[in-house]
Amino acid sequence: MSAAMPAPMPAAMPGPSLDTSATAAIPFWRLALVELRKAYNTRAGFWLLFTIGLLITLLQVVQLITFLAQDYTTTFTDFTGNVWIVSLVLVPMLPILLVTTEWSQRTAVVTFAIEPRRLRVIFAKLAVAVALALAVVVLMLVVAVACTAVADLLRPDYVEWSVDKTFVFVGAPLTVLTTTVFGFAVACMLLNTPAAIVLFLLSWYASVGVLAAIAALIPPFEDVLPWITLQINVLVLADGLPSEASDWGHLLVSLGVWIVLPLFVGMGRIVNAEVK
Amino acid sequence: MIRVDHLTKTYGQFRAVDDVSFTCQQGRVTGFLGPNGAGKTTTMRVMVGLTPASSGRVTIGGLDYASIPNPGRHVGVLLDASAQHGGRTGREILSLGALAMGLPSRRVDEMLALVGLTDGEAKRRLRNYSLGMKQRLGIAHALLGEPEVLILDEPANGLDPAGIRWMRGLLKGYADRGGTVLLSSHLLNEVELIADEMILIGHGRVVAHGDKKSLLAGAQGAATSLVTSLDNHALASALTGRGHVVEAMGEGLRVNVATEEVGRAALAAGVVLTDLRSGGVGLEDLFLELTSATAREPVTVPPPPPPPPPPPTMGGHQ
Repeated sequence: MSAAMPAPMPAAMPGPSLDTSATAAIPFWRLALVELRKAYNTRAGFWLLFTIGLLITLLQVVQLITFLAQDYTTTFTDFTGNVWIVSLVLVPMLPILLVTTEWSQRTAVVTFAIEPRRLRVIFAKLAVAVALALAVVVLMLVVAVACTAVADLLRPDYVEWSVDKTFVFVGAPLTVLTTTVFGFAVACMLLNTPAAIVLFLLSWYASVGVLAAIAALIPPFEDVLPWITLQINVLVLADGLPSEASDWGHLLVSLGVWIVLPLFVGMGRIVNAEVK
Repeated sequence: MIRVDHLTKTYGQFRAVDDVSFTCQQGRVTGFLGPNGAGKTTTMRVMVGLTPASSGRVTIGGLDYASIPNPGRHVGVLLDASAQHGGRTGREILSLGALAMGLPSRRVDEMLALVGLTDGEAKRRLRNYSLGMKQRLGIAHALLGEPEVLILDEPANGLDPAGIRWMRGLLKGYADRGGTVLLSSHLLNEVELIADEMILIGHGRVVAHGDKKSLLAGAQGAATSLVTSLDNHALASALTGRGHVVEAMGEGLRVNVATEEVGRAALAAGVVLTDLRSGGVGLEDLFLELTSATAREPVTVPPPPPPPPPPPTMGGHQ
């Protein structure tokens, strides 16, 4: 705390106006890099990433062990199938945390002072969430390859490699990305960690049952059902993009209702909010 | 450098900032003074675009904050030292800022050294910081991008006396090198010594502004004298006869005029003075006077009576 410390040197100042000609705006990749670092430099963020990685590995290893103990045929796709369902709800926790902690920890005050164009920050967060979701899918596939290889080595008679290319390259990434963006949209709309997690899980798991119950009570509602049940429409994506026009319609409408709408509400809220 | 132009911010019926205009000059420290809830923080938040203005405008160096590219390189901001993730270390918080602003990592070390945070302290998580340490970190964060303008809200809050003196030197040196500093405080003594210029705000309105001298000179009826004489009674009636307000104070009297006038009155009344001096108007009196109409506590009213005793218990617990 010495008073003898040299004071910082402000840059040379031409007149009473700011000379910003030599200053470039913060490039998007740097904002994304900052957001990526924020995703793992807190305990909550680090352990969430760690847990996702651990669960994805562990689930497949357990499956490998049960396979080795019993006599049945297994395939590469078997390994990815179970863990994929888990990823669908685990991965969206990343963007939820990334968005809502800015408000719960009030870091938005600093974040938006550094980059006042708030949408750029939000899109950087979305980019990071998408990148992490893809990384999780890659990890899932890599572990599945390793597990299948071990199984093949130990019990070659029972192992088939039959790789479902549509699922691996289209279905799995697309579905995980969809729920990730869904979680992101809910987080932007609520800006509160527990509320966002609860609403995400409720609308993912419970909405199907709740909507079906409503349809049972009000029969005409049954016709609306396929248009708004997000979970069913997303899970169908695992087998590739829809081929029928009506399936496309169902998918796009439910995405619009559950993802695009909250995303717009959330973005509007973030852009206009008074950041405290 | 900073120009606040007829700024108003309303929340429903409440006018948090009411037609506020002032400028902050380059190379000077401007103190922004006012009681709690006077609108200082709101004004500063509008400055950096965190709160939208209801009407009016703020420009920094002629630009809206939002249109400054990479604003951290031009304007250093500290609005709330606690508004950081409690789970990040001090060093990590500065590193994130440096990364976003595109600064080399040695800048983080320089700033930590400048604000006197040791390596050990920088490795601690923010939630384990004292308020003073958070303020130091916040100042380090504001200075990270070598800005030309500093906007600091209550930066001395939580600093110990040595820390306040350190900050005073830091900001003075910064302004002497051509930087523009705006800092707010609700404590006059913090600002009195560093600020070249002061803006007094109460209830969302600017009640006075200027440097210390002109503020004191412009204060209405602020001059007072303390006088003791061999015959206070006679002197008091002589002064009252001349239309001055006199009150007993200790051994002598307190009069609301300059010493010269008291001397003349004593000469005319033939009273021997034993002590006559200026009543030592501080900025504090002025500050309280100017903001008294708007402060939460009326200045001259005695403290509220103690709360009534609890009602007698009847019939024990129900």
